[in-house]
Parts: sequence; structure tokens; C-alpha cells
Amino acid sequence: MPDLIWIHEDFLSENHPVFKKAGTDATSVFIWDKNYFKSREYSTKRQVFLFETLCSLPFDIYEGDTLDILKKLATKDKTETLYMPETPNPVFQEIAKTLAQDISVEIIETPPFADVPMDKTYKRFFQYWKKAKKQLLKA
Amino acid sequence: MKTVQKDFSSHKDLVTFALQNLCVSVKNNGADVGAIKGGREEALKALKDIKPKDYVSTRNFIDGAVTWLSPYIRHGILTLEDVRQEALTHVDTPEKIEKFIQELAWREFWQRLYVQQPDYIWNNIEDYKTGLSHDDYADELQEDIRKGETPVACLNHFIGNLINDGYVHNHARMYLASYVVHFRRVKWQAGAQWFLTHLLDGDPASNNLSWQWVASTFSNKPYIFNLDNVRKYATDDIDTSSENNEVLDYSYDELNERLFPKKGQINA
Repeated sequence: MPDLIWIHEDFLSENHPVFKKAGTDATSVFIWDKNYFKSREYSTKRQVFLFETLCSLPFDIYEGDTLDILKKLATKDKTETLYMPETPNPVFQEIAKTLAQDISVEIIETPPFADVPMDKTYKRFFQYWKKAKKQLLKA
Repeated sequence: MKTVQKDFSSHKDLVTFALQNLCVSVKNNGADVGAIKGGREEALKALKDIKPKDYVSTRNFIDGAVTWLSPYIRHGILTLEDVRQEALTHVDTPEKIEKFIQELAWREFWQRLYVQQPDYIWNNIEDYKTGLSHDDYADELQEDIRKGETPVACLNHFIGNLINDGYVHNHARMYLASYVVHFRRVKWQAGAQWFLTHLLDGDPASNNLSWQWVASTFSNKPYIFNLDNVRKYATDDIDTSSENNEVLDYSYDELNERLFPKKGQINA
């Protein structure tokens, strides 16, 4: 029962901890969801850019409704756990929540650029920069 | 279930396949293909070409040494740390490229806010500081803006970059956002969606929160610019003549009075 890794447009790379977390025989998939692109009003040049990128990466692409395809893949392969890189995108978060009703879903954090405590909302950039600067200016 | 074809004998075939089988077109779609090619190899090549020291001194100029990496960063093809590490190889002390690293940190800051405050993305974070209220701004972008046929020649040039290339220099993005919100009184949300449609690096957090910064719903004052400023930073091929850019050809005091006539009364 290999794991499934759902790759989405927020992290198109093999350089993510999600690949270490999932089993080595995990299948990585991207769902080409026309309705998603339509809802985002992406012009074709944005979609072409994404397709060019996907063709350069070792992920399988399926076309269709994201939730529907992921459910079908999970059923077909008897997937126990679906892994995905974290995303701030509410649409993807909602899909993950729905999937979690049937299978285990693990959202794997992307390492932060700077280790600045997340417990506070910085409303102006320079409040954040003050905390991050020292780390980021280290060679 | 069949997987989508990924191997093509040429880039032209790849694009033709995508356009015929995968892509959905939007109204005012602009060019089918942008100015920056997607792909891991392309990203790594662009990363090798960065000039972070030149960036620090020239980044505000339209032909300055900007990296063109933003679409790759937006989609996680490159991480901010990949870019920082490469940039550090260009200097003996990191302080020399502080501005470069700071710009990377802006991206991280916007992403954090997106996670912590998802409502910030499409809602005004604060009131406008323009003397006007949300309802004073139009809901939709005017057609002359969408098509790059405004009365302002230099901005039409940048709109051409947006709809044909999918890439606009950051300074020009600020000009366009300021024009849309403050000169044409359109809600920043309409302009933000327009950018997200076209920009290859369009990201809800970086884009929308920057629009809010220009609009003054996430900053202490509205961002405005005038023709002198465009002339200082633009390239020679951009028409910055007074006759073709009349609405911009004023001092900042004059523009403040023209654009925000009620601001003084409100602040008083």
C-alpha cells in the first residue's frame, strides 16, 4: 500500500521534506484541474508555465477534478496516507480536510526562511525584518 | 486513469499540446505564452545568472539587475533559501547584499500573513487613508486599462508587459497599482485579480498585500508617483513625454490635492 504524495502549484519541486516523510515507493501526483484554473482566472501563459515546469519533474499528471481524482487514486492503490507539502491556499486546505474523512492526510511543513516565532502577527514588514535580519545575514 | 503526456520532441510541441488539450482561456487572456519559461533547469539557469550586488544599486530602474526568479519562487521550484545561498556566493560579507536578502524576506513575510490571516487576502485590512471610503471606488477595472489603451503612454507600455509577457518590473507594478486605485478610483481587489490573471509569479499573498500597501489599506498613506519619477527610472523606449502622460505630469503636492481632495478635511 504505497503512499500518495499530492503535489500542488505552491510547491513544484522534489526538494521538500514531504518526500522523506512518505515511503520511497510513494507516487507523486499533480492534478491538472481546469476548473481550478478557471476559478483562479489564470491566463493561458500561467498555465503553460506550470505545464512546462511539470514536464521537467518526475510527477505523474492527471487531468480532472482534484478531489475526485485523488479519491480515485487513493482507492485504486489502497492508499493509507496521503502526504502533501503545506499550503496557505484555502482551496487545497479544504480538499485535504475532505480527504481526511476517508484516509489519513499528513500536511508536511515547508522549512521557514527564517526561524521567527509564529505566535505573533507582524502587521508591518519591518517588525518582522527586525527579528529575521540577524539569521538571514549570516553566511 | 491515464496520466497526461509529458514527453515532447520539442518545446513547440509541448506548448501546442498544452494549448490544445489542457489550458482554459480567460477573457482578455493576452499572449498564450509568457516571457519566462517554466522548468527546473530553467530555474537553475536563472539562479546562476543573478547579480545580487548590481541588484542592490539598480533594482528600482526598469532595466536594473532584477533576477526574474519570482515565478520559480512563487511555485516552489526554487526556495528562498536556494536563492539566498546562491546570492551569498557573490559577496565576502552578507551585509553588502542586505537589500537583496530583505526582498526575499518580504516574500516570506507575506506568506506568513497569508497563513495567519487568510482574511487579509481579499478584504481591506484597514480603512483607506485617502479621505475616501471603500464604496467610493469602482468594483471593476475599466476596459481601457485591461487593454493597455489608457491616456497614459508609459503605463500602456507596462500593461503590455503584463498581458504579453506575464512579467512586470516591481517598480512598474507599483505605478500600475497606484494608477488603478488612486488615479482611476478602482477597488484594489479588481486590480489585484487582474495581476493574478497575468503575472507568472502571481501569488495571492505577495500580490494582494502589495496592492493593499499601495492602496493604503495596509500602510500609513497611499503610494503615488508622478511623471518625473517614471522618467528617472524608465528606459528610453518608454514614452514619457508630457503630452502623452498628462495626468502624471504634476508635482506631488499638486497630485495629492487632485487625487485626495477630501484627505485634508478628514485628517484635520
